[in-house]
Amino acid sequence: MRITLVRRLWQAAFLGLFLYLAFMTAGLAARLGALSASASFFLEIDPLVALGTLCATGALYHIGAFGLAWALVVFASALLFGRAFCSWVCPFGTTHHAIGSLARPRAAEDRCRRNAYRPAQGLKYVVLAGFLGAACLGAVQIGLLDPLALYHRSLTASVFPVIESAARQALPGGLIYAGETPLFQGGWLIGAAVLAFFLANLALPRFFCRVLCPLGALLGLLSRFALFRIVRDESACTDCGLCRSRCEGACDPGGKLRQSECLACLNCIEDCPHGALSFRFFPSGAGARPRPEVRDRRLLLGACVGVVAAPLVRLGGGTERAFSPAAVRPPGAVEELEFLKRCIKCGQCLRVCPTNVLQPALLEAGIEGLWTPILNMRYGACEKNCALCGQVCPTGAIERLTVAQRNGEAPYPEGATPVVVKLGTSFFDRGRCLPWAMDTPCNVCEEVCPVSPKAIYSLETALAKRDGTALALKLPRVDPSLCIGCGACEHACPVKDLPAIRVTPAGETRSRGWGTRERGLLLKG
Amino acid sequence: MEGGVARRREFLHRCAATAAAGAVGGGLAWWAYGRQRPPRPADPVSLAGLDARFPRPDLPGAPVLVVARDTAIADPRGGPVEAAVIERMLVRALEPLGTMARFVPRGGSVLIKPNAAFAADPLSGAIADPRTIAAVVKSALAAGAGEVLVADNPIAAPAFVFDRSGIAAAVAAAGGRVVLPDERGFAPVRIPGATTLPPWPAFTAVLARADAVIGIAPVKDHNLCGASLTMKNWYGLLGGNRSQFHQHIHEVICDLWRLMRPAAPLLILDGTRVLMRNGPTGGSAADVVVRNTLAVGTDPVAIDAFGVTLLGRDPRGVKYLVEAEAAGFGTLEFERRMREV
Repeated sequence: MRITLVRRLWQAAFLGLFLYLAFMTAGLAARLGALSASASFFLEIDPLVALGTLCATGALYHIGAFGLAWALVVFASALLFGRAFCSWVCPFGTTHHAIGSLARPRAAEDRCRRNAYRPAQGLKYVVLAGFLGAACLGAVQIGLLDPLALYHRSLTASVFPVIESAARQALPGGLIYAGETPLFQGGWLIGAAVLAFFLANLALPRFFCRVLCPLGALLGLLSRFALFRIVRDESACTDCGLCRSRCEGACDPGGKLRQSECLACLNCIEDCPHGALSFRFFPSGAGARPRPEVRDRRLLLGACVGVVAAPLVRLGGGTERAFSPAAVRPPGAVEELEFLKRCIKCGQCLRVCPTNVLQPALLEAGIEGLWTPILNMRYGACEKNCALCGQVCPTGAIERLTVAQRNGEAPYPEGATPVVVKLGTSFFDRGRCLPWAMDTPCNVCEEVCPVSPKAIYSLETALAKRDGTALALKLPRVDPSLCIGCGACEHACPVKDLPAIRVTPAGETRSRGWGTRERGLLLKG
Repeated sequence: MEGGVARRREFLHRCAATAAAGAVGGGLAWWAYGRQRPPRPADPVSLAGLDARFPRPDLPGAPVLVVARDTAIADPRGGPVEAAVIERMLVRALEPLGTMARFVPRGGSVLIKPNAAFAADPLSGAIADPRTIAAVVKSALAAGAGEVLVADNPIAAPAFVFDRSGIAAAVAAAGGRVVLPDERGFAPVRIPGATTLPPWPAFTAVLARADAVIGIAPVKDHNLCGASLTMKNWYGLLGGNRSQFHQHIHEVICDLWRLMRPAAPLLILDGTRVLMRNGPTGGSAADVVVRNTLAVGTDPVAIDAFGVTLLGRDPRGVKYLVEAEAAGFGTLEFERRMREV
């Protein structure tokens, strides 16, 4: 069997596995029992996720066995085979590979020209340096361009919803109902970004992998140690250049091999009409460029920009003093600054959420919090008997609580005093509330409040109507010591556009015990 | 003058092409000009005829309400009732009403509407017990039903509710089929004689298919209308912005019965455990009392009035029951038409 056919089968298997796991992470699919194997597998073997969160937190997150330490597998593969991950495993890379293949020009010389090395390929190392520089100061932004996080987020927020919506329009209902399609705010933006990356393959094959990918850059830096690499037999080579016709990495296998760009796709071995190329163990160092062609001062500049950018994006104080009332975080989310050190915006929590309340933030949590999960009660409400978002979080931005721990019926961590997790507090907008402002009975908020005793209660009050007749009306109120900020009231409020009761993070438990209690509300409770 | 002929031909061709393009554009504009209004919303459908599909045999002298109690299942810790015990109670209670066979058309489609409003544990008393639902599914299939559909439009996220409550698994094991709500399954219906509800989206995908309907409701305290029983249970067959119902909750509950009355549903009240306070959501074991009672009947006012007594309250204190009796839906004097087994 040809080695490139083996590679294609590997690629197809890993892409299929990734799509399957991402699809099955949905709350609906989770009940089929597939949740134990979520797409976290791919994020846990991602060395950039491990390194980025390691820079920020000084730790590798794991619950039980390995966790982010699985990244050592890909790390080791880079030490053996260079960037083979990119063209054998990475599902995003495989997708680009496929699109690039479909857009391949007919003429051999056109193909070869598109696969010539370009100096722009050095940019990804600068991007990596910038992301790691920012991560060292606690601003983890690798998820913006990490291919696995980016791909999972795009599938969740745009690709799957587009497919589901189209399928719904095309198919008759019958009795096979799957419930409503989950929708995500700003899904168009996430979808437009990934579509742009896909279309860029028409101009330059594997544009994302060659020019932007910070994970590819990390593996490229490691590949100088690779024990296996492409070797050219100079006596057999006629400099015909055909080795470039399907070269995925644009790594110059016909000249001095650029080891950091080579994706070990092995196409060149097959395309060489003279049999001059081979993939060998421990070749001599001559005839290859082991290091990427990017000047050290560029890398330093990239790192400096990252180091400066981290405090720059926080100058407004939006993550601390002037925290946003719209950034209600999911149950189990750690304190905000710690959260920003961990969240890689992969969107697994968005996918698993059974109520669709979890949404990718746009600017609600500051520019730094772009695409991190927040609750938007227009879409749903946080279910008290659920803690799925923490089960899939690969980095511990959302801790893995049980339902009992979340509801204060079991200690977290072990041995601690049990605490009811509060996401925030509900506040009435009396000017929009039907009983308070319009003498109309309602109290749906009280009905749906899921805690016992209810955090929303009402007192019957004697009032007079406009014409003077007597009216006894139940006027609702919030008991802040009982409210858990789930948003059931806000979601059910009949005033749909701007609900008359709204949850803000004030009083959230995750900020308790972090010194300032900046987001606290009550001194007791 | 060959060139002249050619030019004349070209002139005619081009004039014809221009005229055709103009005609197409003009025709399109003519067609579209009269269509500037947005499409009107779908006309409400009528569910009248739901009653005609399965003429139920008369049973002279039958009670409208049968109550079964079983002291053998009392669990002081409030643990789950055994499924076999519930099945026994159900058979006993249905006997005086003519058994399940009287309510199930042979080979027909049976719709069960349980109260599955919240993603709650069945022990919380906030939803119908999956064991009770499964017992009814089995009973309907044994009585000859062709299919048993179980459907509700919960307050919380539907798929999660059916999963978390255990209803999905229990129904599947009993041989029934859960149908999750989806906007494609809803169409506006006109409710004959409604005093308050305008034409409103209802779960017509299951309603229009059903030959017989069975409602299963828990016995719950309710913050606004006093008690949530079988009449309030039909709320879950409607869609749309239901939060508006609470502005006229008693009238709306009566309208819900006006919608369901033609189907003459079998009503089942699951009083194995009763949510005494903090309803309709519950949330604490302290809110629940074990009553080991199952009531079945055909009179919504009688069965709900009985349910109110399980809450330890006076049925005449529940406004919608008083209004329902006045509208002729049934009797609050349930003791006279009740049989205990």
